[in-house]
Amino acid sequence: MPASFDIATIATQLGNEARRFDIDVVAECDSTNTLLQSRAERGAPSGSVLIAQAQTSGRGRRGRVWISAPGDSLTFSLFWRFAPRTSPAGLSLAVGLAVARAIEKVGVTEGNPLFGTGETALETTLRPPVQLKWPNDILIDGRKLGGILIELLPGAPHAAVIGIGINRRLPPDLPDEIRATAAALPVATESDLLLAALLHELLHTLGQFATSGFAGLRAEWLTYHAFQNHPIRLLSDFAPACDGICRGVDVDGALLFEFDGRIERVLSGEVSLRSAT
Amino acid sequence: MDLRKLKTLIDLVQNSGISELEISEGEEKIRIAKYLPANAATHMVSMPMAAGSAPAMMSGAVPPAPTFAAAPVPSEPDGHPVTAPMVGTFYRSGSPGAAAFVEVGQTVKAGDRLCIIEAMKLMNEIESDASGTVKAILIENGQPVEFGQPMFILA
Repeated sequence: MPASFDIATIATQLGNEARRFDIDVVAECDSTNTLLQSRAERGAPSGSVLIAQAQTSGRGRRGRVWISAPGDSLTFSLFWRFAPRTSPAGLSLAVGLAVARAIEKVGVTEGNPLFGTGETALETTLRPPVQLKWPNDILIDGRKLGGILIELLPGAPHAAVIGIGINRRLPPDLPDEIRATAAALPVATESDLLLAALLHELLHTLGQFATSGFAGLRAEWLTYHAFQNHPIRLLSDFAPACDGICRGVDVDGALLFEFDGRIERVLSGEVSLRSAT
Repeated sequence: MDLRKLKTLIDLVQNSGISELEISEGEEKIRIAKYLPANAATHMVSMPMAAGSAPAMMSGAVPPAPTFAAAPVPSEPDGHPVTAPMVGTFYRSGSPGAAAFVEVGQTVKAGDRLCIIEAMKLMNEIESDASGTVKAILIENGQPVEFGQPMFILA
């Protein structure tokens, strides 16, 4: 059954913040990022949100397919225009932080099956239920709950189309190899409430980003970091894998990778992280 | 701009995580950018830590000439270079397997998209800043580019 979105409910949840957004729901589209980008190029305002009930060819990084069955995931894009000349450096990580904040508030409360086995209440409180993997994968229990793909408007690098996908449920027919790496929200959450929580956190986080860049969000980002000081492996399509220690992220969001006795800033490339074995 | 002020700015850049700083004051314009050695040994775009790098300084009109001598482009043909506005990975098409945005010999207009530069899952479609014929494509698909590095030559 397709997820249903009720804009009035979302607006009620957002309260005064609702006026900062212009929300549109479409039954189905190829990719909310692509459609919203073309709307933005034709003058759609900052704060435009496009939700797809079903997305037929959602994209991840480098054209990877984002599998989204109707009702099982929340997929939407947000168009945001910063002041001209705002550097987008670190925006990917800032958005990841916003999503982590929102998920933590709505999606991992009581009844979380991940907790409760041998942990004291304090440990449960201290343990971050949601974690971030550089640059911006959202993890629960080490498995991927959601992803983010940001596309800057051509010719306007201060204007960004931010695509977000969150697994609400995992489809029963999901192949095992994907199930092993995928996570869903541990608590059933209405799509409207989830979206309102995400927009609320995005509004605040993007505001902070506009003021102080990622540098102002870095400390909090690191509290969610899944691999801080862990041995990791960097993979690339263009070179052999490389083992080292993850030393967090720099003020512009670059990954700090300790390798061969020195720390390198990793900014780009087809890089993924693995817990080294 | 006096030298003391200049030194303060250089120190500011050196001790921060930012890679470049540009300031306009009336007629004066100054750009300070950190020197970024191309690190051929690594497989991803990477730079040494801020503390380990000396700032290189240049001033002049914007857009500047490529700042980083460490990213040499052998026998770059004459023409108008389209330079990388950010550090990242250079892609010639929108997705793997898709046709390249432009090929050598193709005519482009200002505003036509030429490539994508990706950094930290942030995709930046780069448009041509001039009209002309693509004379050379200087970066291989999937390779890292440095800030200011010429990517295309238009004639």
